[in-house]
Order: sequence, then C-alpha cells, then structure tokens
Amino acid sequence: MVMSESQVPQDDGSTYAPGQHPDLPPPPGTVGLIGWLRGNLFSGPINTVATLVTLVLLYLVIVPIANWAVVDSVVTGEDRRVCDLGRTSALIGENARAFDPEHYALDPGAEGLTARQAARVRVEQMAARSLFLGSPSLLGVFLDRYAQTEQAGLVPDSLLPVMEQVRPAELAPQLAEAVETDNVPAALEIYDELMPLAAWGDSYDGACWVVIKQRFTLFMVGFYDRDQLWRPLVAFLGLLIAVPPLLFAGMPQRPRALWFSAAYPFVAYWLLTGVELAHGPLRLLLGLLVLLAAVAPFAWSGLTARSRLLVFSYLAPVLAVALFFAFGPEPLVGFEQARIATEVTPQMAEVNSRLTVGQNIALPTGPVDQIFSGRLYLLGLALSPLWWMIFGALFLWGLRAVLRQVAGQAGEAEWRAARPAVVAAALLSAMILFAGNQISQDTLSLSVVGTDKWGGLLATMVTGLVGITASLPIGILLALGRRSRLPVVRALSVAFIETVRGVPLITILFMSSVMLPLFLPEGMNFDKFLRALIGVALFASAYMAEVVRGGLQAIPKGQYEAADALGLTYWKNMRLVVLPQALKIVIPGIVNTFIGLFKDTTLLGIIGILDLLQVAKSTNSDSNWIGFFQETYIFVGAIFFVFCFTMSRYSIYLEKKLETGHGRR
Amino acid sequence: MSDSQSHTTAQAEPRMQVSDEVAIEIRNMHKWFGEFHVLKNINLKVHKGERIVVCGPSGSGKSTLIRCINRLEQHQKGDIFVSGVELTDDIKNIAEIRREVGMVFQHFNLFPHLTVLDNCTLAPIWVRKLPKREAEEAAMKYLERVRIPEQAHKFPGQLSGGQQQRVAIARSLCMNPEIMLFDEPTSALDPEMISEVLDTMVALAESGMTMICVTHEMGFARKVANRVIFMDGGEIIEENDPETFFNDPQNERTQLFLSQILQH
Repeated sequence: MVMSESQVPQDDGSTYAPGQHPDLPPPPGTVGLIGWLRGNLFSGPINTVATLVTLVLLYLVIVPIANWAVVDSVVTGEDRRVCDLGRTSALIGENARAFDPEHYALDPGAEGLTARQAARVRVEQMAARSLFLGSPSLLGVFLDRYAQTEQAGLVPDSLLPVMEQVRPAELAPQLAEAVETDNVPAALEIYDELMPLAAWGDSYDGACWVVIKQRFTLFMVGFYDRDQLWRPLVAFLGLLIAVPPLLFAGMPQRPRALWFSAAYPFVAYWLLTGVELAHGPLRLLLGLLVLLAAVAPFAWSGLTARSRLLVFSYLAPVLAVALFFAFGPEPLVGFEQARIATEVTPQMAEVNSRLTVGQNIALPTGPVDQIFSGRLYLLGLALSPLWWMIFGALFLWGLRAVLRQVAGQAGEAEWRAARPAVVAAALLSAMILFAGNQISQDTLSLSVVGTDKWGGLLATMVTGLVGITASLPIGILLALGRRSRLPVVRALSVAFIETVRGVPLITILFMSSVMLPLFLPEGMNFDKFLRALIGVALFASAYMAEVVRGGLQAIPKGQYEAADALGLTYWKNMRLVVLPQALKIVIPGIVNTFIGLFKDTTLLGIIGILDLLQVAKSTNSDSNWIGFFQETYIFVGAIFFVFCFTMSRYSIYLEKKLETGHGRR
Repeated sequence: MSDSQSHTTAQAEPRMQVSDEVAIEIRNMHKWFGEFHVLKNINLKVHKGERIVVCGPSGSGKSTLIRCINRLEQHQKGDIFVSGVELTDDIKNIAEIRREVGMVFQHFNLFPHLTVLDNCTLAPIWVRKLPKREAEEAAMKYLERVRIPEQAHKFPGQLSGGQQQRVAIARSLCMNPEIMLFDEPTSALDPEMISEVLDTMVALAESGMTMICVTHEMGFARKVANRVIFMDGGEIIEENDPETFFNDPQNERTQLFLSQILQH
C-alpha cells in the first residue's frame, strides 16, 4: 500500500513528485462576478428565495418613490399653482374610477335586508353619492385653477393638447346637468371623456419641489441678511477647502493647506458674524505679545533658530500696528475720539465711492490728524493707492534684505550696511500703515449679523461642526481625567460625565437658554446661540469621553509600560502611543457620537433657534404652502442623510487606512 | 528547551570586561503588592559591564525585581541607585533613570500603530530631542545590528515574534542606554525563533553592555553571564558565577530547581 514517493497520482491521472505540484487556476464558477453571485446570492435554496424576495420588495419600494420624487414631480413655477393643477386633475381621475354606479343605485330601504346589510348598503351608497354629486364642483375647481395658471403663463406644454382634446370647459355644464338630472349613464360618459386629463394629472401628481425651490434660502441660512448672503456662501466654500487636508493625510500640499484649515474657524467666525474675534483687550494683548516676541532674538542670544526669528522681528512693527489700529469697526486706541464734522466735497466723493457729495461725515482728529487739522485725511484719501505703494515697496525691500541675511546670501558687510535701513523700513512701513489705516479705517469691516437671524442649514452645520470639533478634545481630556490617578481630577471628570449623561439634551438646552440668564448678574448676557452651542458641545463631550475611555481600556498595559520604560512622559505617552491606538479602536463609536450629535441639533428648535427642521415646520404651517409636508420633511431628511452617510463612509475609509497588520502588541 | 544549543560562535571573553564602577546598587529593598510581600531584603550591586542572569521558579519575584530598577514597580523600603541617581518619587530622577535604562519585555510591547523605524525613533526624537534624520540614521544602525534593516518600513504586526523581539531590542538600544533589562525575552517565542534573539543578546553582551536578564535559557547564562542569581519566594537564595552555579549549587532549592529545568 505504500505509495512510491515520486508518484502522487492526480484526478487527471498525471503524477507529480512531492513538493513539485504546480499552481493551478481555480475551478470555473468560483471566482469573478459569477463566482461572487453564486457564493453570495444563490448559494442555496433558502438564499436564492431570499434574494428573489428582496429584489421584488426593492422593486415595489423604489419604483413608487422614484415616480413620486422624480418622474411625476413638479419644479416649474413660483408658487403652488402648477402643483395644484396636477393634483386636481389626478383627483378627478381617482374619483371617477372610484365611482361605482351599482353602489349608487342601491336602495338601503329595500325589503329583505337585515339591519347590518342595510347599514353597509347605506355607507356604500352614500360614498358613491358624494363622489357623484361632488364631481361637477371638482371639475369647476380644476377649471378655476387652470384659468389662474393660464393667466400666469405657467401651463405646462404637455397639458395644452390634452385640453384641446378633452375641452373640460365644455364638459363642465354637461356634467352639471347630468348630475342635476341624476343621469348616471350620461355622467359616466363624461367621466370617460375626462380620462386623458386624469392621465395627465397622474403624471403631474408627484412631489411639488417648487416649495423647496421657493424656500431654498430660508432652508439654507434662515433669516440671514439677504444682502449679505455671499458671506455664508464664502464661508461654506472655505469649509470645502479647509476640511479635506484635515481628513486625508495623503493630500498634496497638505502642510501648507493645513495653515488654511487652522485659520478657517476664525475667518468663518468673522465672515458669519461680522464681529472680529481679536477685538478689545485680546487685540491689545496680542499686539504686546508680538512686540515682546520681536525683541526676544535680540535679548536672548541662546535662542534656537535665532536668525529665522529675525524675519519675525522685522514683521513685528507692521503686525503690531495692524493689531492695534487696523481692521476693526473702531480703532482700539482712541485716536478718533475728537471728530470734526464736515461736508463731503466733490473731490472726496470722487476718491471714495462710499461717500456722496453733501453728506455730513465726521472726520477723525487723532494726534496725527490734529497736527494737520484733518487735512491728512483728505490727503490720504487722495493718495490712497500711493500710501499702499509706498508702504508695500518699503516693506518688501526690507523683507528682501532680511530674507537674504537669513538665507546666508548676504555677506557680513552687506548686512551691516543694510541694517539701519532695514530698521527704518520696518518702522516707517508701520507708520505708513498706521496713517493709511486711519483713512481706510472701516473699509474691511463687515456689518454685524446677529445669530438670532441665523437658521436653516447654516445653524445646523455651525452647531454640528462646532460640536464635533469641540467634543472630541474635551471628551479625550475627560476620559483621561476619569482614568487619572489624581482623585480630584477623577472625581470632577466622573461628576461631569455622569451629570451630563444623566439628563436629556433638551434639559441642557433649556437650562442654557432659560435658566442660565437668571443666574447671571443684571445686564450680563451672552448670545443664545452661543449658549446652545456650548450646551450641545458639552453634552456630546460626555458621551465622547465614555467612548474614548472604552478605547483606552482596550490598550494593553504593556504599551503604557514600554512607553514609560523609554522615558516618555505621561502626556507624550498619551499623545504618541496610547491615544493613536485607542482612538483608532473606537472610530466607529466616535463617528456614532458625531452622527448622533449632528442629528441632535434638531432639538435647537425647542429653544427657538430656526434650524433646518424648524424651517420645514414653519413652511408647513405657512398658509401659502399648507399640504406639502412630505416634500419639506423629505428634503430635510435627505440633507441629514447626506451628512451622516458621508461621516459613516469616512469612518470606514479611516479604519481601513489605519489598519497596520494583524496582531496587536 | 534544551540548554546547550550553541547560540554564538564568537569567543569574545576578553572584551567582556567588568569595571569597578557601580551601575546599580540595591540596598535592603522590600516590596509589597498590597499585603503580599513579594521582595524581601534584596541587596544587589551590579558593576558596569556585568551580565547578570536572574532565574528562579515563577512567582519568585524576578520580574518584579528588575521592574523596580526602572520604576515600573515602586519599592516601599530600602534604596535603589541607578548610575548614582537614587530612585525616589521625584519624577525628574525617574525620567533620568529611564533614559539610561533600556528594557525588553516578554511580549515585546512594540507600538503596533508605528512602523519599525518609527518605533525606534520615537523616544530618541521626543525624549532625547534628536533631529529626525539623526534619529533615523541611528535607528537604521541598530536595526542592522539586530540584522533586520530590511523590515524598517513594515509594521510590527507583519513581523514574526523573533523579529519583533529583535526590533524591541533595537528600540531600546536607540536610546543609547547604559544598562539593559531583559524580562524573559524569549518566553513568548516559538522554539525556532529563540536562537535569533539570543544571538542578538550575546552580541550585545560582547559589546560590553551592562545587562540584567531574567531568563530560563541556561545555555545563554553559561555562555554570557558573569553572575547568576537564583531567586525564590522573593529572596535572593544564591548568587554565583555560572560555573559554580551550575556545577556546584550550594542551596537545596537551587539544586532542586536546576535538576527540574535541566532534566530534559
């Protein structure tokens, strides 16, 4: 029975020596599309039946939805007239088909009927009667609406031949007469003649997207100032640029793009509110910091990258001037307290298009201006482009000299010669900026749009994005706090997490909008929208903390020990070793919380913020648009779905990308 | 495992010099886990360049002992000095000692989310503040020394156990430690991978590294150690040069232990 070692027989009779077996292709029908279908959809009788049933169900669901939403939908017109026209014609057909002459002819008083039969007959007969008697007025409604639509010039082209063929205006009196004389056969004949109209109606009986079209701005931005709509639009476009570098590590030019992402929140805040973030004391502080940092390379010789800081020192005067005096509705330091009233002269109006001749304006009389008693202002207006040219040339010349020195291209002698001039350029350009800025003081400022006007998708997205960006870091800190060895930190974290998780979001929103002002001192008040934002962010943070804690607990103790043994401090250990792994594990949980948070923003409506869902609700209760709740809710639902589904797909992408081979440890 | 596989070819005895300088000194050290007295009155002086093998039955406190040396465990009584620095609650001291003491674990404990190279450069960059390029060059040098430079850009999860442990050794070496602690480095490995790790350790010993190694690889102990320490019940029972330790154990429990592990 012992097989010869070099003679292993195969199915096809050939033989191979052990270890010499060639790689063969897989049997047919096990790979490719057919293989997939066979393996997954038709692998057995039960699976085959399930597949077929699913296909049928899908067909039954998808076809009507597609018909309603796309095929039979209406998008023409400025109001509901075309939609109503379609709906009325479809209703004419429905009623005609529902009318049963036999039922109409029944007699509930006939002999030989039991009480129950009589009752049923009465119901059937009454239904038929109301259809029959109502049909002339329904046709009348149609004709009214047609006349209105025709007047507005909105009649769809497809309706014209139908009207030509059916001539409902002529049929209407006939139908009225037939109904009046109780002439059922005559009425049935007219119903038949109306059928083409009904058929047309059926093809115009879908969703009325006109309501969305008409209310689109409201859906997008609520009551945001209509002449300022470019601002949310620019903010949104900026978002599209700012987000990808954060999401995709492989993006070209990512390091540079990340600068934009970092600046984006501040720019967006400024764009949307019109309020400068660095206003008041913060601006003063920043300006002082800039000046301090500028002195540092001269004061502290041991500084690393000292020569590179030279560039910063050079920029500092201009930056400081910009921070102190520029880019605000009001300058921070009150050089403009004293103003002189004057009339705008034609010359002034010519230079500055915002001024009209004869208009009374107040000219600033700051220290500089007082010297020239306001003439500098006029000079500035006249020379405005010149200001910027002088400033720009001086500034760029100095910058070039500094950059050459930093790059090591300038010789020692060249630098020594250029140094006084560079210092002069830095200070002079700052002064020119200052002077020029006194003139163009408010050219860069935007009108303030209060958050009470924000609404729709804008409110939803701002809340969602702020909540998402804030909740992850806060949640991580809370999770670390909860696992901390320090009892006070741990107790505070636990208390916060459990309290916030223990109450519904609505409670928190009510607290923030109704209760909080009661506790604040008289006159102190901050924005309702901001309070809601903070409420949503804190609420999500508590959930996030628990999600992250789950990830932290899944990291083996050995990872902490290995990092400790290498000398990493606690925070470096967390940042470089533990959190990257823990967060990767809990990506599904994190995205789950994000999605939940995004949908929870609909609760803002309860404290009077007009979010996306509230716009839908207000549309439905608008007397012009009653009856289109399907369209509005489906539109809102679709928007939410797009966002949530995108987040979900991104999390799957991220999980795949971060997969680093099997075997933890 | 059989004890007498030849793990090294080099006869490098002359290079394995022991200096007079004290690397680690442990004086009257005690440690408790709650009520349980795991380490009892440990006294140990390790000179620079010494290779010490610690063995003993499981639960005897071997691992705990070497984990006390870099403060992964905290002792409650007695003193520990590492390179002249006393181990106290002072975070600065702990950080200083951890920079100078490398550790290799039974389960490797590589960072699975980082490539082999990043595993090796993480601590040099973030603790020693080396520039990235320098750290990478050094890491490649050590990866070559443990003979896996070609794996530098793979993730730990894609390597075999033996390779992972060699990366772990390289990772510790990248910090340029004065002392290396090995906590059963071969216990979690398949038999065929043990020798590659031991070879690396022998080469390291030959380069003059101060090593304390908890292991049951008696062949390694014979070849490399200049002192073998036997622990049982939280105490150092016997301490001797390998020759005497294996051929002429003094203590009864040592004899029993050796007869058990050398039986097969």
